[in-house]
Amino acid sequence: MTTYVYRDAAGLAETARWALYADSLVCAAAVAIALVQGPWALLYGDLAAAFGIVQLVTAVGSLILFLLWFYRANANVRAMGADGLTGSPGLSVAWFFIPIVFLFMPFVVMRDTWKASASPRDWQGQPTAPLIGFWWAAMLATHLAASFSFRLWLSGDYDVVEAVGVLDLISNGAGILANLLSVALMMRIQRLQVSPAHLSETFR
Amino acid sequence: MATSTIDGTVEEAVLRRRRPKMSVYDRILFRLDDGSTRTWAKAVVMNDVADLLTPGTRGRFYTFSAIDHRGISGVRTDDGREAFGFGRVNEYAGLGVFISMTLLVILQMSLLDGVSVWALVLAVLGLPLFLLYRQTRLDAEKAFKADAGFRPAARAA
Repeated sequence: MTTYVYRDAAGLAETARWALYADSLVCAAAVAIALVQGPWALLYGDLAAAFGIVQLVTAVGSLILFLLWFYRANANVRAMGADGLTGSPGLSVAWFFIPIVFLFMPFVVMRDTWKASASPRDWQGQPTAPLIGFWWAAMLATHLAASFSFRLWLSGDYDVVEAVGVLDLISNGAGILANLLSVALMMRIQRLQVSPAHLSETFR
Repeated sequence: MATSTIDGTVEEAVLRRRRPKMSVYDRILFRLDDGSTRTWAKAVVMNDVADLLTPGTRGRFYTFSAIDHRGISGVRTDDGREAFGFGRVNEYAGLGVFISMTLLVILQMSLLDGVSVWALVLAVLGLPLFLLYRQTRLDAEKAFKADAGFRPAARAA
């Protein structure tokens, strides 16, 4: 049986928080450009390539930092005495990338991590926070809209530019919401994991 | 994936539905010897085991979890009763998906000269699903057998 050691994830959470804010700003800029200059601007305009690279870097960077924090938070609840959690911290992160399964398992592991942070020794009796459902809905909207937009754009047909623009707008708008909800979720779980009440429950 | 044990007393067992072979509980609440509680939510329990999960039953309870599927696979009570049961529906489902989707992919490749991405993804997911549930069942059986002859201490008077 694997033994987990509690390690403070405050530094990781703080770094991930600023990365998510940065990605939100880039998403907001994308929305503004699309609304002012039209859907063509971000696909074929002068800034298209550079903006695309910036957006890719902030999106991937913030996702990596968020998942690094999540790995640590999930390992911490195990160290705090939560048992019966799904898989391992590594698998909890891997669910985000497994086809079909990524539609629901990230919600499940995030929900369980929240519950276990609130009460490590009796986490299954905890209620599910509505914030997690909103967070996962925003994440799904972001990624599904981006995925459909990318597939349409790959078709190379000029007739679909309008649809690609609308999907990008949805993706970026939902992305801002998803990032802000990710920050809220992360900070709440952080507070739960270091609150004196739970630390005393953990180490009693 | 994960098996563990709970030593304590069943305080509450809220049944959601009972089928011919298994029962699903909204929650089973255990009171541990140190006074704390442990909840097992949305628990799937085979009926042989479920029959012993009545409030007041004291003993050792063998739990498992696999993906988002949790349950009680065995129980040994302080009055000497014991039961073990582990459903194999998900294990067979994983194997069925793997075999049927693999056959579909082979048929598509040989007859249609193309492959459905969904069939391929399901074939790839079916095998680990089968292996995961099989391993959990084997772990649960092993944990229960390892305790053979164990008799939980009776409640202090």
